[in-house]
Amino acid sequence: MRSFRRSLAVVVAASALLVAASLLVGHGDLGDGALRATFVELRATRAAAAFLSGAALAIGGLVLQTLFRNPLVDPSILGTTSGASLGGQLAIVAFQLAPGRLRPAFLVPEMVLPIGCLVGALVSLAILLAVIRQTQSELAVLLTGFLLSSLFLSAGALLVSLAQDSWELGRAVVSFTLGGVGGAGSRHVLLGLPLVLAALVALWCWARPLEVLLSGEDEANTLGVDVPQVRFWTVVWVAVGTAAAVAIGGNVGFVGLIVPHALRPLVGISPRRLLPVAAIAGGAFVVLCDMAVRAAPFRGELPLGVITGLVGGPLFLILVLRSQRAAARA
Amino acid sequence: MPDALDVQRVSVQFGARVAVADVSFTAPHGSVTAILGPNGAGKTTLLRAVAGLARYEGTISIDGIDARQLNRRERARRIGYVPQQSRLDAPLSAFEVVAQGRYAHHEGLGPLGAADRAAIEEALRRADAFGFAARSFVELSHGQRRRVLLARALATGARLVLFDEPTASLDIGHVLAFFRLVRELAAAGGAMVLVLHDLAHALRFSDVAVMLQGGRVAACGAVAGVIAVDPVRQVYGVELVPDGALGFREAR
Repeated sequence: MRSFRRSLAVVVAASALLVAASLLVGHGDLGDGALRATFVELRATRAAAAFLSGAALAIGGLVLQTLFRNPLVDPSILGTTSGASLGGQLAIVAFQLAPGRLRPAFLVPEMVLPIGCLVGALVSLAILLAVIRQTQSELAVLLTGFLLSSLFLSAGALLVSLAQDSWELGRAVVSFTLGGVGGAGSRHVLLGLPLVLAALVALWCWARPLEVLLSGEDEANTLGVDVPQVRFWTVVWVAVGTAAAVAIGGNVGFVGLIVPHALRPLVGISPRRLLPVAAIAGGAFVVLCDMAVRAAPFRGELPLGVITGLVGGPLFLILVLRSQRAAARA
Repeated sequence: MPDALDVQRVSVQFGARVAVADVSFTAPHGSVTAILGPNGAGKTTLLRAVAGLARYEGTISIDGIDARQLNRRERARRIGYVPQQSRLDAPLSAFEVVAQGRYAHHEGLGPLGAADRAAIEEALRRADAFGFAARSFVELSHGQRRRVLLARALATGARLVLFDEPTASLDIGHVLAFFRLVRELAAAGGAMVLVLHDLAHALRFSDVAVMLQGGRVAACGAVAGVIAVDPVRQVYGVELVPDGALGFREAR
């Protein structure tokens, strides 16, 4: 317990320092007294958006790894983020193309994207769960995730091509597809904050049965866990968190893979302890990646997912090789 | 007082294959019941049905209550289950694994209470697993893992405990210690139901035996009457050798 508190304190302090440092990075001179407040506000909003996106993706990865008893899964590898992204793209296109009289009065434009992302994430996870009911094979789960991811990305690319017929629509879809928190405003943060917080709290409430589920469904069942209920609600809340993350920052991959994996040696495997730490560390990791985006010496801004992909891809490969070696030793 | 376990005309079917057919037996409080039979006789399937892991026809009652009327938590507090092998491959400590046994007692979201901790420590001591409570489950030997799984079942506080081949992977010292513990638990009013392969262990340590063949009961009753010349020849195709020590030879 003492080492957990120490790890939590270190992660909180490091994250706070990172967020503070992120206010100092970016175009624009903070020495300019007239613009300083504006720059700080813009950077703080951007840091908050990056933090929320990273927190949601990290807890999503952690929970899916626990649920599937597989350290190699995360929302991007299982196709959840690309499902959410496709849902968001479809929502943008449908909203823009639908005649005004067909749009429900309660549906304000800011709500369209998160709702689309949520539906996309839920559909993606539902397909995956249906496959898992047929087979427990780790390889089958991963292959299904890759397949779903490719399918959704291809469908998204098709949608981007079709959307080019209208300049404004094409620009909106491309901008969302590339991802990043550069365009995130306070409305994005205010909309994402309750969703991410709700997902974090709800998933923490399911952490105890999730921990028992590490022993497999049969043993969890005999120990009193309502396995179908746990599976259903955790998938729903992961989808909510992932949808919020994608709506804020686009399709940012590998965060859910890297962060829990880095924390387990420090905090242990218990999801009850890991969840809050993963949320903070995940947020800080994406803030750090966004700082790299801002500091990169390019004329245009790199998509955030490029940075997380460059770090996450090789790490994923290392994890796969390590997992194969461990399986060979067993 | 109703029996701890009352199994009446229970059948389990997987598609067209009947794994358990019309099995009936009771396990009273204070008894050790051995479920015997050759490979594929339906022993583990029967145990899984009692544990709530396999759909069945017929009636299974726990302390006089139809098991179908119990919710998951109630059932977990009444039935402890020790599987043949755990699917746990995550590095939880042995203490954390045993703490899973308190899940059904713990409604809130907070940390374990003093009563939970006392139950876990007592279970670890009884299963002789206290010495490696802090070690990772996946780093333990098979025998040590089995003792941790036994401790987890004891931590549930259930008086009916089901064991699926509990002595596999245990050295002879821990086999004897395990059966001593089983007898102690039974003497304290518990009902122990064990799937066993070793007839010598069943004869020495159990009171009642149910011998299955092809999913059906071939013999049931006091253990000395079940592990006898005729049932053993009929079910296993071997002859009991009455030479003072328990031994077998192939049937002619």
